[in-house]
Amino acid sequence: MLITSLLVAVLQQGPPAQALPAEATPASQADAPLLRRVDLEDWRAHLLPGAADLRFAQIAWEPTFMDGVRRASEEERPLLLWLMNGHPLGCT
Amino acid sequence: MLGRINSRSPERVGAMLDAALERWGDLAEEERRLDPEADRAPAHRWEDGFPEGGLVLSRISRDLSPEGLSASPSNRWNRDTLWCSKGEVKAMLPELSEVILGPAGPEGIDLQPLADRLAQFALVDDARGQTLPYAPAEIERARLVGRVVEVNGPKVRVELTGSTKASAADTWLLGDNNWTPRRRIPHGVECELLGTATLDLEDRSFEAFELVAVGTRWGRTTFNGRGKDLGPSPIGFHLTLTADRVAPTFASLYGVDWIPRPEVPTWRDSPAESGLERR
Repeated sequence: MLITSLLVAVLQQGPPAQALPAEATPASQADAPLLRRVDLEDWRAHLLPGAADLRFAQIAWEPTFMDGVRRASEEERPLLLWLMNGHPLGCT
Repeated sequence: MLGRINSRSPERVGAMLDAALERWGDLAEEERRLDPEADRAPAHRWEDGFPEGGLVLSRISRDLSPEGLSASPSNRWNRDTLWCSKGEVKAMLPELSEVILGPAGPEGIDLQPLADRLAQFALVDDARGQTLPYAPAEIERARLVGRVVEVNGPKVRVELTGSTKASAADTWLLGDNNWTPRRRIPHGVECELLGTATLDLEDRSFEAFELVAVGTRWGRTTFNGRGKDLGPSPIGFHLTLTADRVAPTFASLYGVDWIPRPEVPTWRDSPAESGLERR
């Protein structure tokens, strides 16, 4: 326990993550852009969808068709069912 | 049914909606309500396997330009999720004492089960459309290691580093199921991985997780929209924790006992058992 605590203390005094040398990991294929640790925030911004892409998520989707039927019945409103073949995630 | 249409024309869809609303207005009050006899819970939902207390990641895939970050983001992207059960995470993460005395050295914390699941099911070429997962035998490389950079009580911050390569020939190795392709076309994805995570080694869980994967894809699958673009061309992925409970696309192929399967198989799982013929 003492050894563990001491080692924890040593590790805690180590350099913070941002002080570590930048890590460059070239993608293994020539066509791939360079992936470096210093660019991770930029990659996050580049890869993640923007607000306009996620407008569909502002709709309060029900998780199942039956949940939608129940809610429509409770609210006495008609139900619009929009179907697309394929998996809702894997299919664009 | 008040109305239905299969059309990309906003005008035609709008006309259908108007007509359907008119019919709705003509319905008697009791016809507008759900028949209690019809109010039944679904027999099976893949979300039933949601891994409470496990690792639940959202995953974005996006086509990349060879210019990488200096180019504008492509509008070809897709989303999915990845699950690891609480038990899988506990088995993967070491005790705090093990981190300090053992794997915290140059080798880091070995996250091999997560690397395997990423390579098989998450780092797939679906940026332009539905694609296929990889069989274990098609994973040529899958490595993910967490190097300890900070320890704060039971919380351990790690830098993630890894790489994957999955390559499918003109074969299908995942059995006869919903995903069995009619055409088998060579394809693959190769990525370098970098990220960060915060582990709670008292609870043996992930408190934070972010991973970026950048690499190349080649070949195509029947529905992934690559057409004649067999590549190789760049592709990128981002994964982070999510509260989204939607099941991973390939949950049915995880091959784990903690994701319940439907009691009655679909006709593609077992045409003989369900008595239905494949059309």
